[in-house]
Amino acid sequence: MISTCALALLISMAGLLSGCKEPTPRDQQVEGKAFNPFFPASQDGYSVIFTSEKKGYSQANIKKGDVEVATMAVSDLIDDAEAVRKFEGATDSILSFPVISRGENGTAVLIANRFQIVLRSTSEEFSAEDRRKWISSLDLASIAALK
Amino acid sequence: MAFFGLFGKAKTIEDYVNKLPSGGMTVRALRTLDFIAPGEWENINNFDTLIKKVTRESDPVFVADVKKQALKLWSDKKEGYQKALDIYQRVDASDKILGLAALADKAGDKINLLSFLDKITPEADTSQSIDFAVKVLSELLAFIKVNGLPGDGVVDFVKALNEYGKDSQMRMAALIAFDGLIPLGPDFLNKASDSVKKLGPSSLEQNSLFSRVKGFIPEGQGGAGMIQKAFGPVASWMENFAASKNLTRESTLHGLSQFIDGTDSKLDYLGAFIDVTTKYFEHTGTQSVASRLIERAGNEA
Repeated sequence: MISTCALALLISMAGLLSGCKEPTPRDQQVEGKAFNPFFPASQDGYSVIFTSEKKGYSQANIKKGDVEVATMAVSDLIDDAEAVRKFEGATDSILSFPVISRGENGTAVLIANRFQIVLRSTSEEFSAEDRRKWISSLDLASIAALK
Repeated sequence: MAFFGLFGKAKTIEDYVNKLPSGGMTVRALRTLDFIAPGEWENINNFDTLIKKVTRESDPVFVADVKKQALKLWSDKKEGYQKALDIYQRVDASDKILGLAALADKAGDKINLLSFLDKITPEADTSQSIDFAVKVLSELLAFIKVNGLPGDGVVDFVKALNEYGKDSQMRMAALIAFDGLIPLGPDFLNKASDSVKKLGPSSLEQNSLFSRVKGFIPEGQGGAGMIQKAFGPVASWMENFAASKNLTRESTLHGLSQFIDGTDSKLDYLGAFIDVTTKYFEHTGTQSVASRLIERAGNEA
């Protein structure tokens, strides 16, 4: 059995097979689909269009008319302690969840010490204040309750 | 295997982006389609530059964080980015490409198509139509690898075509222009639709392009069925896209005539010539995969 696993490991390292692995934190990530009900609906001339949905990740574009003005993403950081640590010492918050800036055009909030929501402006029109407003319009409490 | 170099070191998306050419047949052909969205497609072949462009950030610490996360996502085979690039590379894989492209490159500023006629064999319309449909299927398969399969994959794929970045729009424009309008004519969508309707497992299996990408079709989805399901909605999108961008046989020929002489006749040969001398799927596909990877990394870093 040990030699079978060792052989499988060798083959796996060659990129031909994956097997005989312990479950990793990544396997515990929620499906991206689980985030979708908690995204805000299209509103006030803005439309929300889902563009990506993978394990532990979901992304939507925010468009005003035909122009994309921002992206909005939720990711599960259960396997990424380093990404969680960047929120340590945050001085800003939304509903008591820590908020930090990510570059000039991004605002990130950490929910339940595990789920990260990032709003990134893709147009000058979409301000830091807009990003805060849209983060607040996600159903943060329901995201916090996800397992 | 395509992702391993001579000594087995895995190539990263940064390697692939940084090796994209700045000129040559592929870039020259793509640039002739600039009129669909003037100045919007930039031939970026430096990964760091692409990070700054996609994230609109210049802070070196943030850019480094994004790069680290992008390379981490790339190296995880379950994420599908490697498979997406593999699909784009397979679409353009052909024994004929390198030799003729090198000859074309040596031909100077302007290429005379007539001097290449004896080296090209145009495909019959039916075979060209199936190729066109299989390229649409390949784009759908690569989309699923990059973006996942939210809800009904085909419906979301068509919706997402409108959200495509400029590199992906350029690939779709090139598909319509070089694989549709030039070899098949203005009614290329009807010709392709007819071929798709008649498509059976045996005609697909005989198609060499299909044999290269069929391994990426999700389990339980037959190739012919998947093409038939996807082609109608994609064809409608393409028709609207071509109309809104003034993408016609005339505008395409006008663009190509800037660097190829003899484009006013022998259009089947012109189509075959572009097919065997360019790698526009792989080129823009590399840029698309990298851009989406960077976009996600920017949201996770």
